[in-house]
Amino acid sequence: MEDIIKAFGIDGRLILIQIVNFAILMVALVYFLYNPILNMLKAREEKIVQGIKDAEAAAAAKASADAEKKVILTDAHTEAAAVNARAKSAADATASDIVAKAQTDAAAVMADAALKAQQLKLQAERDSQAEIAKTAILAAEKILTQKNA
Amino acid sequence: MLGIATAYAAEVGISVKLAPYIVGEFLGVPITATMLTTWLTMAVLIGLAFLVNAKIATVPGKLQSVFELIIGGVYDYMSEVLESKEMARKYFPIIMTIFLFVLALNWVGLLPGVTSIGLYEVHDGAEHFTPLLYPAATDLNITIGFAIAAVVAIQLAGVLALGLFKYAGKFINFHSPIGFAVGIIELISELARLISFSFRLFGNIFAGKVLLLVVLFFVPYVVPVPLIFFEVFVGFIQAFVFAILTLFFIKLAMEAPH
Repeated sequence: MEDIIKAFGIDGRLILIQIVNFAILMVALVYFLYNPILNMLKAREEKIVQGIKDAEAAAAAKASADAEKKVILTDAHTEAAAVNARAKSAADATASDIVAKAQTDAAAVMADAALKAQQLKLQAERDSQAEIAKTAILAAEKILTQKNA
Repeated sequence: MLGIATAYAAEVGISVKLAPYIVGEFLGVPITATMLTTWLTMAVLIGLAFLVNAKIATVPGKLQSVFELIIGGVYDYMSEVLESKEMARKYFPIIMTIFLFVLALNWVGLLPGVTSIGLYEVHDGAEHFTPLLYPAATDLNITIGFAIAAVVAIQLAGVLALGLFKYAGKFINFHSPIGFAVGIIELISELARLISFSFRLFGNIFAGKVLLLVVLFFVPYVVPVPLIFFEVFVGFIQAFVFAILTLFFIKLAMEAPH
């Protein structure tokens, strides 16, 4: 046994030093390499999971926003049509009012004008009768004068 | 005196020894070439970790991407095997460090200069070449160190998951003679892991090193290139096997006895 140990140069102190070496390296690597990298990988994984969740939430929000938009648009269209119809009927009503008033006014103006024309006619007749009478008198006087002379 | 191994090998032939090269001594403890390589590798790994940590960002750079791929991949795989993210996080450091450390040691061992740059020393009147850096897994002390760390982690996982008495009951079982025998076999196989872990890594990397040494000695050009590629692959496989076996043994240790 001693020969084997001597042939391989086995030395308990060297083995101990190697175990200490291993322990030192392990602690150093845990502190400087494993923990930072594993923590980084974990953080990145969490970030990616969060990112996917956020993206899904955003997609859901977009979908609901789209649906809401559709509803709002449909409502708006319906309301616009209603408003349009109301405005049209109101405009129609106003227009027929205006036309009716205009017709009434026109009728009144016509009646007024006819009355005035009537009066003028009468006046003219009266005037022409007086004139005729005057002319007749003058003519009679003239005839009488000629006869007397 | 500083020297290059190939010139030395050409002069005196190839010498292969199982024991690590001793470069110096510190407070009575021998400092081996493999230990120096281990410290260099640790410095490189910690330096890389510093670099990644200093520039860490949500949008990763190239270096961070590579480490994210490795660390994230291992973590996901461990979560699957252990069937729990919490458990995966708990045993992640030991598995990942075994993988990265063994991989880095094996690959650093293939760099030019490792094994070839060293000192000439005179022992017993003859000149000997002692490399300053040497592939770390060719030293059984290093691989035993890894094996002990892995086996301790496995036993701890079992005790933490089942409780001390229930876990010990896997090995010491007086319910029936067969149960007792099975328990003893379990205990032996548990101890055998120390040997299989340490010798598997040692054997593979040592053999690779010897192979490269021999080929470099006989045909220094072209031929070693595919072999070096092969050793890069072996280095990865050995790191992978060590880490994955530790993971599976942890999983087995955590399971309740039947």
